[in-house]
Amino acid sequence: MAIDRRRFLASIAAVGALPFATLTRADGAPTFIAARMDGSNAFSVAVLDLAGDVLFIEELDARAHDIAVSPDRATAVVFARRPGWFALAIDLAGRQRVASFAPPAGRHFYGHGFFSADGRLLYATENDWDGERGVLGVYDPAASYARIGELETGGIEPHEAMLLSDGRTIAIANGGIATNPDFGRTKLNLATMAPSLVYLDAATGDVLERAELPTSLHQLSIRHMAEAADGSVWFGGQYEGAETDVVDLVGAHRRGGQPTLVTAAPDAYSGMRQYVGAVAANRDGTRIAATSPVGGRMLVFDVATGNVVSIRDVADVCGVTGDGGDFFSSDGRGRLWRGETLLSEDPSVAWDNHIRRIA
Amino acid sequence: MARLPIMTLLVAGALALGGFTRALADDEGGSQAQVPAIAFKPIVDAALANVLLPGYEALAASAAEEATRLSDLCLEADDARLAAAREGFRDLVLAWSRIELVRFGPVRDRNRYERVFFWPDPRGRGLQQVQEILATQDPAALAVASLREKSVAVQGLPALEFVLYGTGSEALVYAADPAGRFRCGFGKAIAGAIAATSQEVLSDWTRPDGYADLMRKAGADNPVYRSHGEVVQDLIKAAREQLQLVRDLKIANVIEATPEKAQPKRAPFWRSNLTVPAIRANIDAVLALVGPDGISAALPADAAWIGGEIAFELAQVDGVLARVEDAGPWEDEVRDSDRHKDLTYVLIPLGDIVSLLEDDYPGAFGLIMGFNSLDGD
Repeated sequence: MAIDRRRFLASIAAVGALPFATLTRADGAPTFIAARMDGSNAFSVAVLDLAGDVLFIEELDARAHDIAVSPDRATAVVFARRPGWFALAIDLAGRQRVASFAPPAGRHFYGHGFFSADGRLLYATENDWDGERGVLGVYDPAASYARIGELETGGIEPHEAMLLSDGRTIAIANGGIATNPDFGRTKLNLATMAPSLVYLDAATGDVLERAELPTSLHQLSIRHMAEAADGSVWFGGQYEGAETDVVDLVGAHRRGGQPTLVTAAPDAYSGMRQYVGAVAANRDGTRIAATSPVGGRMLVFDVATGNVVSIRDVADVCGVTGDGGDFFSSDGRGRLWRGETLLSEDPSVAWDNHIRRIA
Repeated sequence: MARLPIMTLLVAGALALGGFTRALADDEGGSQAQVPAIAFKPIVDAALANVLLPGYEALAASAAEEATRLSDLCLEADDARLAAAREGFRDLVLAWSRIELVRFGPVRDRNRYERVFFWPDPRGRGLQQVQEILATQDPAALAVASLREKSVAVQGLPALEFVLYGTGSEALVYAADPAGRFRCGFGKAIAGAIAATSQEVLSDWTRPDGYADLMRKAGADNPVYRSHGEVVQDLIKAAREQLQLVRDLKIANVIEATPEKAQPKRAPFWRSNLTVPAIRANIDAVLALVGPDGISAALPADAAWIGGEIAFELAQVDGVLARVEDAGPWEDEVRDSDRHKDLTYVLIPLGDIVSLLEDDYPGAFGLIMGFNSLDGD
């Protein structure tokens, strides 16, 4: 589908023009949103307040993955887990679903998405498996999320993508692993995978920059990302090579430069089991957290020095998002954490891979 | 419809956790109080001795033997030697099929798994590449070393199958035919490449401080396994994923809803008519690993029924598959309405065992896999 260029340009012109609702920080305001499993086989998405108390949940037919929150904080769009066949838009104040939509034939969601700066467009990472390429599907929230176009992501398997703080550059983590829904979740191209970080101009869809790690690291799938205050994009990967290879899993990239992996003491990464499940920046962008549910560990890096400032061992920890100077995290054992403090534990629930900040 | 949660969540202060517990599988087993302590190390030792190492030894041996048979065929082309090469191919496919479930460890290094078995190949790229080599008579494909530098798809079992059974394979018995001679040389190099790869894998398992030692010496300083329970988790996962792959990709995806819609060529080894024997060997390996003679032997008494369940269901499956195998060639049988019913039926017990291996089985050992740790991406 052709990109509607006038819409894109109009959306860019509107940056900063939309008044954001002022939310108080009293208990009861929607602050976090996360997908979860209830019991052993029921799925939902839950909206939490600042204290981590559940305000309401929306039941889902299948497992979800991540959520996009609109810039005015009124709407959250939940994406199904790869291969994703649905997305659900939720009115956060009204506490109800307002729309559900599916990708078109020949496409499935990867589970991540984001809104444009003015909230008039929703982007979803998608697989064009016949074309063996990744795309960002573009949807119109004002037209019941009708799909109005797609942008090529310059690689295979765009897992996570985000709008950078300039409001007009899209950063994409192309994981590089080809899958085809007719073959389940089987990884089809491990020998030749070529992950990348790609930057697009949101207005035109043009590729502004493409960054890859050295060929020797082509099996480190770049999958999750966050932007630091200094403008660098930090990313976390999942390694598809030998388990005995010692690989740094978190990296950073500055526009115009080479992406570099952030070195840390060997036993910091070894507890991550070659697998990063989520990456987040704290609220002032001075620290980056990376979680590994496989290793049961969360690492926190200082952006300025690249040093690991915290190692927490928490079984099945995955969801993480900025919380003041620190982080709010969740795990598959139904626990919510504020920094190192356990806020709550509900053993009947397993929080899923990602948790998003609303306000 | 949005609704308020029924349960009131516990507040942090009400929990006397004193920090968080590292509730990982530890060497004494059981992160739940009610599961008896299970010694995982003997389970690991048994799996290595009975399934994993013999599997890789058999693979390396049959690959070396097949390389010899191809070499004989190229030295003197005749029907008997072609038959011997095809027989050797069958042995090699079955040997591979018994260790195919192991997708961790040394096969992950340098894409060795894909070098031996590049499948599925939805776009048929591997076949295209093999046919191109045959058409252009690329000399680099005649030597093991240079062949191994090419794409993974042209140096393994699917490629060798095409050489021995694909279009033009009859030329293999005509010594005077240059295409036949090239084809044989290519086949010999492929067999040599598979032999080299399998020998490397075996060496990386068996050498001092190799992968077998890594599994035996699980612990806090181990780069891969912090406990023997984690090793057993990997073994159970391997068995489960293999059955799921067999069920979904090798059978369901191939037979489709009706005989008319069946796509026999989607299955591996259809050209050599080894599809069903290979699947039976896949299942046999799963049984050996997690059945009553394998890991199930260590189940607590009240969970011992699980081992019996696995043996029973997989025996059912094997019986039905034997019937399909004996009935005729794969391409014909998937389109036969009775055999199609048979193949549709086996999806059920296979699915049951996949579910069992997901929850009850690891749960019985106190090995709870974290929800997010099972690759939520």
